[in-house]
Amino acid sequence: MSALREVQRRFGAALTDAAGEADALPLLAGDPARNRALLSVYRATAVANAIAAVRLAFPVCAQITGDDFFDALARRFRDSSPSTEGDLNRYGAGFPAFLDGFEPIRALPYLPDVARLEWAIHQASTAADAEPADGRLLAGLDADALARARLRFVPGFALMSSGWPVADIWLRHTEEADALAGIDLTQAQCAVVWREGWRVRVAALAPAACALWQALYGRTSVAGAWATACAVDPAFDPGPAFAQALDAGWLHSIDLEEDL
Amino acid sequence: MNKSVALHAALASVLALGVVANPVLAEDKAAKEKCFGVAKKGANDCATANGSHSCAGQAKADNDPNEWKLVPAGTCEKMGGKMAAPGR
Amino acid sequence: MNLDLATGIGLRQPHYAQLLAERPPLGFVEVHSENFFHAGGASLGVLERARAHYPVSLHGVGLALASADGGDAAHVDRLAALVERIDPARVSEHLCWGRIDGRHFNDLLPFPYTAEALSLVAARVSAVQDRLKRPLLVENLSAYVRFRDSEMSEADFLSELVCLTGCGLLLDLNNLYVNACNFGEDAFDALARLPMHAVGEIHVAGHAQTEYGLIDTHGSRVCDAVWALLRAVRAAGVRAPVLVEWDTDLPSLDLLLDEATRAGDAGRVAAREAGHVRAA
Repeated sequence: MSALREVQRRFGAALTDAAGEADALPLLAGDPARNRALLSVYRATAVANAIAAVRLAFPVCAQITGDDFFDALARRFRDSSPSTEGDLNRYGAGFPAFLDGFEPIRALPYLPDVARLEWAIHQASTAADAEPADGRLLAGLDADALARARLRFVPGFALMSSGWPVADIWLRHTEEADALAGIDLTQAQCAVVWREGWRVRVAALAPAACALWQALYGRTSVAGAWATACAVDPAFDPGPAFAQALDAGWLHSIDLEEDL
Repeated sequence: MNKSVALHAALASVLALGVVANPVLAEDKAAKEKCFGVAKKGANDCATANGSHSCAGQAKADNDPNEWKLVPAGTCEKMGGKMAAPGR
Repeated sequence: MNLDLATGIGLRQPHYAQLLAERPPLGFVEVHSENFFHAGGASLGVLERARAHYPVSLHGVGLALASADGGDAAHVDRLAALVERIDPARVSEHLCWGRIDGRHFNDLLPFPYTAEALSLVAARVSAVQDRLKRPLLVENLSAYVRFRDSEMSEADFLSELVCLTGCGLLLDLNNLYVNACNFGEDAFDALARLPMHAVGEIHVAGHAQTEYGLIDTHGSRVCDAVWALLRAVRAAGVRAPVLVEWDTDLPSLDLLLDEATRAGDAGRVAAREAGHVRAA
């Protein structure tokens, strides 16, 4: 094995856990006691970098738990899923799943879904800039062509169905904090995430509209998605749903059957 | 009303949107210029609360808490965090 | 791009709006490349606006040139895409490792300066330069520990690397000073051993005095000893842009600009006294 690889393995083990220091110390020149302290400084930096990155991606989760609790959560997450890349902006995708089974947050059962929503927001904030489609997307179509069409969405667009009122929880933490009262924690909610210019927006969607957009996002035809929405709410009217999508700028383009 | 007729009726209201150009777009570029504040700090930046970064050192030793004794102290109480999860 | 004796500051998020509104006179701005590895969005938009007014130096923290793990092709691809988009005046990285067996510590970690490491880093630097179609500046590191197995000094390692790859040197005077103090050496001697002809950019920064020695925190004003090193570099005829690096406890933009003015003045006076620049 390469000597360099062996050095890095042993040094890395000391940065992962204080128990690794014993094997790393013989690599180093100078006073072992001082080197032990310096390895600890390196370990602190690596830990703090990872925690800071997770906190940047999940700021509402950190508000919900408080900073000390969140830092401890992020540290446990790092122990189980360390960073693998040189760009910390990409670190944290596995944080929501880590929270799913994590005993110390049992009293905050909505936290994993709030984290899922925040990761979608984090992704949307750096998604490609795109000009959303306006009403001209539908110009000249007849009902048959529209029924068979499939839609493409702007980069960063995301939907999230949760057993918790995730959109309300997120919105209340980003607007005025006094507005916290009034969230019905027993309410399931579907959140939609999209980019408006550079700003990431979040809103709650009614169940039938959520079913429609989830089906369309999954490349189901308009007719198929409409049927899915009607199964949730027989009185579902797609007109206002499409008006909201065009107004907010969720749609990018349309694939007609002859294009497919 | 059979399914196809119902579909055509439902889509009529969608097709009616097909003439409207989005009036927001013209203002979009000007709005962008004003919202530099929207830009998030990068995770590879340095100015974290405890003063650490990939290109700057942490001026303290690592102190790993081994036991989990912490209690959430953020907005969780307001969020109902101290309540038992609603049965569902 | 010839930035000569230009001075620059880091473009940091709390200063975005003020810097773009006021556009203070600066020779260049510098960012951490990885913070702009995005397809789009506000951060990249801000950088593109800044690029319309200033040359940009892209300073990487994640490439891990000395990692015994293979290079990260996706990371290099993202850097290449950013270089293509921004057309930077400088592209730099650190002489360090960060990733082993797939795990990245996201820190700038030291390694033994051996022939094996030199050959690995040289191959990695050459591959990156080929991909970017431009020279890479490699920065000397603040290293708090040293390895028994080192076969040469960092300065010798960097000199060899410059010879083997044609890369440039990002001369970080604060790192040089911190290392010299921590290991009981003379910073001016250390400076004299570095390949001055290859310097393509200079960094100055503040550090912290701790119980573990000096730690490179980038969180305070530049100390007198580091200003003296900058004057020595200018007096030696090095004409490369200088950046004031300030990351932790970021001050107001005005204070940062003041520090940049000091860097420019110190360098110009020293260069003029040594006869490298005619008096204005």
